[in-house]
Amino acid sequence: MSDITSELHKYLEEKNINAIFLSIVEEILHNKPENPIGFMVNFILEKYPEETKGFGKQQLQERTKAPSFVSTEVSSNDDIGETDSECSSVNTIESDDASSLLCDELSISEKSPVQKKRRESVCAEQLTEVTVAESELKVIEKSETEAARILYILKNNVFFNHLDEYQMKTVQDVMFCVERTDGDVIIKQGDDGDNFYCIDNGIVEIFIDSPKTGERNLVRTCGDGDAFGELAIMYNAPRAASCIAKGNVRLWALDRVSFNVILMKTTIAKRKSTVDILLNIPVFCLLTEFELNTIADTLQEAIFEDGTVICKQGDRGDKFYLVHQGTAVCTKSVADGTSVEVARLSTGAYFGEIALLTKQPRQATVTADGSLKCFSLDRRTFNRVMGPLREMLMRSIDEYAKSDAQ
Amino acid sequence: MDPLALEYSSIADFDVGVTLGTGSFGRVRFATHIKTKEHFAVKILRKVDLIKFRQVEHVKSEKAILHALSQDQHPFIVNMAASFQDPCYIYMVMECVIGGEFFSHLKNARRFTNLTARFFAAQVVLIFEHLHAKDIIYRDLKPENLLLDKDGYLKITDFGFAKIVSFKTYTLCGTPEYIAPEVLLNKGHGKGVDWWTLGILIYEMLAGDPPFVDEDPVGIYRKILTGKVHFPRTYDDYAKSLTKKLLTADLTKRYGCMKRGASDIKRCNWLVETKWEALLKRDLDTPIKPELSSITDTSNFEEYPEEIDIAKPPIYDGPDPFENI
Ligand SMILES: Nc1ncnc2c1ncn2[C@@H]1O[C@H](COP(=O)(O)OP(=O)(O)OP(=O)(O)O)[C@@H](O)[C@H]1O
Repeated sequence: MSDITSELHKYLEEKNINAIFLSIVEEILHNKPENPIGFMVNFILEKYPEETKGFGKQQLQERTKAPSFVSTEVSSNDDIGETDSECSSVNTIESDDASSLLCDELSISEKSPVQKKRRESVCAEQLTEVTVAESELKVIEKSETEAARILYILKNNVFFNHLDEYQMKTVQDVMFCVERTDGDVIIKQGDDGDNFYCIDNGIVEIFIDSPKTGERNLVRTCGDGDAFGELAIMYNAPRAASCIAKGNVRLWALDRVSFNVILMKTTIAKRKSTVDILLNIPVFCLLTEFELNTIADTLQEAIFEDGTVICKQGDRGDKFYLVHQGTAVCTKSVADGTSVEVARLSTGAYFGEIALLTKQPRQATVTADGSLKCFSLDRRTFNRVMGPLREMLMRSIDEYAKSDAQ
Repeated sequence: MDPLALEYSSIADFDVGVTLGTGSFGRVRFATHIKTKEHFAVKILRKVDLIKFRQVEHVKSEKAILHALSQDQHPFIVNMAASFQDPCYIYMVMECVIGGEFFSHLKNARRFTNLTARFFAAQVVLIFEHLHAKDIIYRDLKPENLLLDKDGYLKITDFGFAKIVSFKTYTLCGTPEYIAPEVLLNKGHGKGVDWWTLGILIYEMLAGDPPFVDEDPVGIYRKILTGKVHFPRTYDDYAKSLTKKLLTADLTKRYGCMKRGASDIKRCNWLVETKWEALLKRDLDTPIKPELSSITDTSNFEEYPEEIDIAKPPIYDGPDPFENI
């Protein structure tokens, strides 16, 4: 390659010229503008605001009047200055379509800068640990099938499906029944939101009243198993729509305070009971409260069926386990090849903690006896999160060895 | 200036000028200290509204945190010079950050180049590193809460949701597009939320919009919990890699939350070349220089109608919860 061409190539690469041209061509092909030259100028001004600072400010201002590559949908909007919803209607960025690379690119330039609006903060009321500890939750009796239906709905809702079994059950317990007849307003647009609802039985229509025209539009019809009003379990915000019963409706409702009390209470209780156990484990007892809390929150739930071998004598272990519910049996193989039971582990017991420190082979085989729920933590996660702590533990392992020998 | 000159002051010691910005409970105005002729921004909050919307604790904590932080005079944090109150209002006298809202600059630019975004992201990293070392979580990062000083460096303002937390706290707060999944799930959250919001900010700077958008908040929250982020093609690869590491729901994998803390972020490919010390000393060239005719030129701020706020709000007819602060 001659010097000149290689210099040219270097330049093209450095300045990313190919990509720039490609994007211009794509835009042109997509928009097929009458006046391609003017279109390109506008495109470059908008796409490279900083590089073109000071250039053609005037054209840029005129552009808002003249049709351009800014999508017609946007520029034909007459109250452009105070658009509220449009600023967030950029779902194309979120598009799941794998072939949407081009779309992604386009969706960005489709929006005009004037749409950007200041966003307000939101906030829930504060619950202190004291109020939570003192609050009492009212359990509402339900038939087995009712309870199962509620659980099914919760498990399929993204705002609830992260709850653990106990939290799920507690939430289900406090949900209360609401019965309405045809035309009853369950939620009124603009009102404070306190409850989340799921439909046990019946039909609910959701309407939005336009604040400008006063026109009422049906936006969704909900039936058995559907849920609405999720925002209310997070914080108090004016309801965005009205929900009206069509015929007789039976609903299950959940109020924000109860929900938050349940989550906070169960989370804190679980962490505390885990930390209490960790404190009794020699390798952990030297750690700070912060470190113990972090470990407690890093533990993962692991569920084993009856007979599952959780770890095997002689294998290199990499996980630590806490028994949460159920029983595990520890066996050791002896000289003649048979194995003997050496211990039974139940709630609060632990095993495999040495695996977090060294790659020593497992000392025994542990098997689930009946269904078993554990919390576990693997060495890699532990090192990633607790790093320096591992070294600290290494130093104290001598102590551990001593205490173990005694 | 002599700190005592301000310590016992009242609003009467100031010439209060134009509104620089508004919030939910009051506004921030340009103000000149009459005796010293120094310029400030005074945040003026209506007590009745704070009480009505149960923000008393937040404001107390905002004041306490700003006060504590102002002892260090961090270059990228708005410093508070004094605070006082009368029956109607709480006042916080802050240094005036004259270059305007970062939000407006981003809005005008539509989005930033990779280098510009990197310059600002690096400052946010330093801000959070500083706050977290003091066990303060900020919880409300967004372009609206960042200001540009006269040279084009960032200053973070609005400590309304900041909190001193040694491990975790529980109250959901933030700005919908920026809320971290663990906050939405109500399971307790800690310093990690700030690193999540940094991921959103980087994305918004480079793409022009935040990654999770929808017409209504519930829609935004669904997307946050689903966690799919699509990057525009122009998005720098290194920036993308960091953004992904920050927008990670798993706290054992999110950058900033692991054993090396912020240094994982500072050493990532996108930021590794940052001259951290020079940046902290404000010794670098800034990509955006606010146009200013003088140090009292407030033209970088939006204009706000002034008459609305003239009428004094009523005095709360109960014991004043701010009495002893
Ligand atoms: N120190 C400052 N110098 C200049 N302008 C400022 C300063 N502090 C705040 N502002 C302006 O005032 C606006 C509102 O400030 P701030 O966000 O602190 O108020 P707020 O009442 O807490 O708002 P919010 O309701 O969003 O919490 C800012 O967006 C900014 O435009």
